Amino acid sequence: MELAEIFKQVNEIFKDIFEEDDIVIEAETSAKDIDGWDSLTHMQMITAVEKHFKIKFELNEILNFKNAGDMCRLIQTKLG
Amino acid sequence: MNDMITGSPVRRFLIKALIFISMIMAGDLLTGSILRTFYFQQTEGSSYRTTLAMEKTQADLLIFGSSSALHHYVPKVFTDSLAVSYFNAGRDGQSVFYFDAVLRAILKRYIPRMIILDIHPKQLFRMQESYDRLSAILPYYRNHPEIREVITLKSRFEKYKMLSSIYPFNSQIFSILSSHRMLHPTPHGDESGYVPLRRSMMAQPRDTITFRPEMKIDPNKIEALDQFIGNCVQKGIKLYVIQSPGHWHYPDNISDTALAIILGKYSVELWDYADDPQFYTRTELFQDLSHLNHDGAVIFSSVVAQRMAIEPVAEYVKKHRASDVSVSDPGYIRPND
Amino acid sequence: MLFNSFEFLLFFPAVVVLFYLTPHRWRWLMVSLSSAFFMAFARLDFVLVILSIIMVNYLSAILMERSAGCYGKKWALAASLILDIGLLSYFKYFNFLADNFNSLFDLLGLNLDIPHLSVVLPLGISFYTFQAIGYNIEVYRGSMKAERNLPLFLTYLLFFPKLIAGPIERAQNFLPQLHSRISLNFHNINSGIKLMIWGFFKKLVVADRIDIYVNAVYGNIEQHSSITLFTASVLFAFQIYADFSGYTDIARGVARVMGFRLMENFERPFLALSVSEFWRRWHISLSSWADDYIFKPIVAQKRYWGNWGVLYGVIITFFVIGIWHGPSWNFVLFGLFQAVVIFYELLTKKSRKRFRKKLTSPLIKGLHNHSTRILTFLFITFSMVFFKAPTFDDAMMILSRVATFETGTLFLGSLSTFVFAWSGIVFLVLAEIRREYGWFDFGFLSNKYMLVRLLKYSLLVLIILMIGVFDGGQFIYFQF
Repeated sequence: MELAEIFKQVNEIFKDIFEEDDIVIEAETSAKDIDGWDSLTHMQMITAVEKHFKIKFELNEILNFKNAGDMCRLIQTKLG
Repeated sequence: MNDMITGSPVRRFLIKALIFISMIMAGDLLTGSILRTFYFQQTEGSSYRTTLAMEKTQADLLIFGSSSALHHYVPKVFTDSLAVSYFNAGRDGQSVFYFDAVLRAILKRYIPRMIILDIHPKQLFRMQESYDRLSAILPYYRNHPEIREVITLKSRFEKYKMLSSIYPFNSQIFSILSSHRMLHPTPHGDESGYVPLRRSMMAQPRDTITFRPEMKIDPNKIEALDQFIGNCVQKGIKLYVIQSPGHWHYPDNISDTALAIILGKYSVELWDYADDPQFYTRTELFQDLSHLNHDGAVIFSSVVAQRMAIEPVAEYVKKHRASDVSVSDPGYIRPND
Repeated sequence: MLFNSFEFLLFFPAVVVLFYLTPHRWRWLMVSLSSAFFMAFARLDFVLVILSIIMVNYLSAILMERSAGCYGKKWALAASLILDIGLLSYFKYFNFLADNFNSLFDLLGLNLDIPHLSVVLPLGISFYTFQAIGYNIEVYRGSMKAERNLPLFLTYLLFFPKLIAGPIERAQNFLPQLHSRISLNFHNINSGIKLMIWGFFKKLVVADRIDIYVNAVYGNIEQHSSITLFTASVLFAFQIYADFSGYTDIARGVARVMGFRLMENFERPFLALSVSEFWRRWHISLSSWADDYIFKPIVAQKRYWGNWGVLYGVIITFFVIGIWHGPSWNFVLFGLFQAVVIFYELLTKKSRKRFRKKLTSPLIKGLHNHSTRILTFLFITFSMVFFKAPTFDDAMMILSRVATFETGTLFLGSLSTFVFAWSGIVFLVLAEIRREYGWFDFGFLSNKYMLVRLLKYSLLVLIILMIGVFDGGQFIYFQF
């Protein structure tokens, strides 16, 4: 899948989780950019992503996510 | 200003540091002198009473000790029944180091006729606060070389800390100002040194206090007490050592044992009212567990004054200058750990 | 050696001068030796404990990096964790565990009688073991390289400014600084000394002054009125903040003078709008440590549990934070209170946000903010009663006596102590508000003239001399 397409789908998940329709995520988007991004929503978001793309992250991978770009690239590798 | 300082960063920094240090030194000197002036212009409060004791009083009878001295000896009772002038040099929370220092300062000026030393049952234990609270006599360090030796007990760096003019008056600004003569132009009743306690304690059974085994006799305190008693004996001052009534009972007190040995060395008798039932059975005479209120103090003072009147004052003294008992006699000092 | 001792006043300038005179390649030795001296000032054998921690963690990190297989890596990590936590538990928690096992077996009718150990807690052990653990986990995760240079690793854990009371510095922040060449920089010296002065102010003028009052009250709980106990508890919250953040500022200042940057540990925590936010601003080096190495891994692992996974993570995290402070159930309770409230805040976050959006008038919005701020502060004050009170019963007695709201007069102790304490707090709070919002940023406070800035700091020094607490000479004489 194209990285751009992954970003688009992840963006939809973000909108859903954070209940904000005007969220636009970019590669550098991280927890401090989005109001309400805390441990709870973070895990909700990760499980939603896992479910949506039918993949599974390793513990270490989750802990090493620095921003949305990290996650999307990893999704691409896992799907690829 | 900024433009004036050009040149290398090192020079700039050194100039800055120099300005900073001189600002602190100038401020310290200025503030310190103001505090000193105001300190000695107080007309009430405990610092004022300490100044009276060290620099003013000429009384025949002096009372020394901590809170139990300050609150238990009523001036009128002594002046009336013994026909002597009276001053109370006791201070709350102080220890034998403080008594020693104040007596040294007094003996520079005159020799009182009699001294009552009120000794609390815990007096000779090692306690850090006894050292820390010597801060009360730091204002006198400059003009009283005789007390400097005592102040060094507080810390070996005290000499260097005294380079600051503010330091001896540390934490005192508020009490210095609130006790200043501008606010209290007329004598306040502190002239005798005595401070009455007015409330009564609620009735309660007498508690027994046993000391924790880690509490140790302080050799420095033994030495200070020895110095104090030795000074009295040497100058021919009639000394009464008294334990005043308390609502606490201290059995097997090693502090008492140590005290007894020192008193024995100078053949001074201990007047022990700590376990006197005529006081501890009557809680209305106490303000709290270790302090008599004014009513209790009046009764206690007359008991003491009467006994002093009977005691043959004259034949006292001269014989006791025994120096055959060593101060560091391990018989009563538990070695430190 | 404590920062607020006269010895340190002599030690510090000597170390700084030596530091800049020593060439870069020998600085590690100079810093390590002075740190060992700093520590040995308390007891020499403390140095042996930290040296063994240093060796174990140095080796295990390298071992982890060398072992290709997953298993070797795991074993090396486990070994180092067991040793770190084991040593910490032995010194800090042995008697506590013994007591609890003894009474547990008593309940079962068995007499276990594990004897007490009389060991002294090595200086700073809670801080350096946590730093070592964090370092090993980072290496395990592969997010940083193992440090091969033993002298530098030694310096990292020994570094005296952070030895006694933190911050719990991250290896990935500090080790690179040790590698880089530090040259004399007057800007660092300037700002370091300023930090130190401010830290001394907080510690000596504010914290130690409050301490006198709080001890006079907490030492005689039965004798005091509701309002007095409440006041003392509020004061205690300020005391602990001023004490700890002051100590951290001194540590950071000392390090800064030598050209090192230690992490920020407190960011005006009492201005937080929620308990969660409070913990992002309070003792950051510990709370972020717990977040990275306890909370996040647990929650990530238990992500399929949903909210239960988060609850589980919050409880474990705050259990560790609580008991880290000391071997007592009161500290555990202190932690668990935080856990409960933070979990509640997480669950209600969205609804609270929606509620806040509905508040349109700025007045009501402001009122709402201030009341949540005060509520957060009151909760922290409440939980800190368990911090200060020696036993659970004491804490309960304080709380129940406060809750009676019985009328009674406010105990002032000595008026000057009370006035000094509150003036210190007002000064501190104003300074924090200024830093947070940039208010009253005029004239004197941040002047462009160097002379005025110097005057400001020299005044601060004079205030410390005038009303700082230097020893136990200040006291409230207690008579009832």
